[in-house]
Amino acid sequence: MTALKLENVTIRYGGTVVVDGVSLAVEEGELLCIAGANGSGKSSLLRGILGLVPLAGGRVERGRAAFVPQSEDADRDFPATVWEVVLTGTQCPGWRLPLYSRSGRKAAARAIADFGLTSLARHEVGTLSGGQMRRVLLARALSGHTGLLLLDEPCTGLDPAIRRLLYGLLGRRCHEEGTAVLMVTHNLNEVRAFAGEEALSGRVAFMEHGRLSVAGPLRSYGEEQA
Amino acid sequence: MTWAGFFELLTYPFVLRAMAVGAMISLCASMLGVVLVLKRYSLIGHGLSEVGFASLSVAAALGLPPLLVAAPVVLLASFAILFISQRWRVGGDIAIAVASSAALALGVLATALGSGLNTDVYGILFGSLLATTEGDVAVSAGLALLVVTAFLLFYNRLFLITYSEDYARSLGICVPLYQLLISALTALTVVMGMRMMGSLLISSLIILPAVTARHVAAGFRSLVFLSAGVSIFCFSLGIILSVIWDLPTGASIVLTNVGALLLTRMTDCLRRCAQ
Repeated sequence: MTALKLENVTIRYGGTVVVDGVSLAVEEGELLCIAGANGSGKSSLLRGILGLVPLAGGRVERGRAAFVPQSEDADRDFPATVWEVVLTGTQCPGWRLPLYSRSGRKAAARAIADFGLTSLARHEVGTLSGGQMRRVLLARALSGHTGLLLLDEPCTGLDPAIRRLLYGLLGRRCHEEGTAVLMVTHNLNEVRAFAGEEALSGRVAFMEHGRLSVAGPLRSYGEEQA
Repeated sequence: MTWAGFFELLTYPFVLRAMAVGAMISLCASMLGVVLVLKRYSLIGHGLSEVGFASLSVAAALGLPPLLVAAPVVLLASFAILFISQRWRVGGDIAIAVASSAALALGVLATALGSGLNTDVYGILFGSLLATTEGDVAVSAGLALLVVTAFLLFYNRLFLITYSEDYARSLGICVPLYQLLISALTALTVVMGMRMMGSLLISSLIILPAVTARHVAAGFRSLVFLSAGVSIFCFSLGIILSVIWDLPTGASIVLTNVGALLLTRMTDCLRRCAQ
């Protein structure tokens, strides 16, 4: 089944077209990596998919999604603990009272443990390093068990061990839960290597001046480069 | 005043009414203040109180019931500030500045064209806590119940929206609905608070307890509780000092809040130096 479908999506900032008629589909359990130069429209495309910027044209079809932004819009000195932030990833839209369920708390605790943040759970996020904060954002996104993960350069500031851990977790989510992953990255070789280890079926797409071209399977990316 | 005289004062119904209304408005302002301060909308209380001043001045000039004019006008102004800051893509501070300058000018105009700076206008500017009625007690109790219930039921949403609006939107949560809720409760708190503290001082009840509590609290939940505690404590101490030394009530409450802020700030500095 298709987890994400874009039809002719266009985004404009003022008079400037930053995403130009992008169409794509991401299937359940699939990893799609989008690469491209700075300012090519990758992050804007993700924000358009999430409804954070209005679409000038086109259509987005998706289910519940979780998101790891390139940079968090919250203040660094906001009085929130790691636990409080990760737990927000389990919130669902709708008219039910927004109370955390036992399963939500368990999922948040598991995500915190997965990213090695248990000892920091009661610390305020403002006291964390950049890499630790990145792990908090990843734990928040993965705690929600959504069918679609949108990751904007998720490995920025992460050490190799945590990057390996992240790809392992993504592989498990893709295989076991059929989660679709759309990842913006500058490091396709690394993604290809880890995806190979996790036996992930992935595709690569490139963005240039707001236009997207799907290049093909991730595993053949290195061969094409060579 | 002797202590016996002070305790005798506490038996008067008008003093008890003032204490009850003040405590409830302080509670509402301090809880909403946490969200507003963290969202960098600290001055919305100041902006809305000036809108309140304008609407009360117009009501006084036209001989209309003050609260019935002020409540809807301030409510609409709070929505307008929210709309301007979001749709015009300007900061919240600019939207507040536009609304408050326009309202202040209108208020001054209405005062000048009406009966001038009479006791009604003086009461709007500086408040009259000891003149609260039983109706004020009932309205304040209803408002406090609304604010506390909103925080109890929607605490998790309010936390998420205050922390990261973008993430809340990405989860599909209806962010404008909660923004409207906070705006509406703030507007009603400002209108009620103006009768107590006056339009010149009400914003301090929104800002100061949250800023004071921020020096002590670890996490959002403890910040909400501590802000409410600090606010009610400073209100009680401020009103006691105003009665004992015969000081203006609103000013005493604000200066007690400022004292608490300086004390926590100094304690925080000393603690950091000691580490």
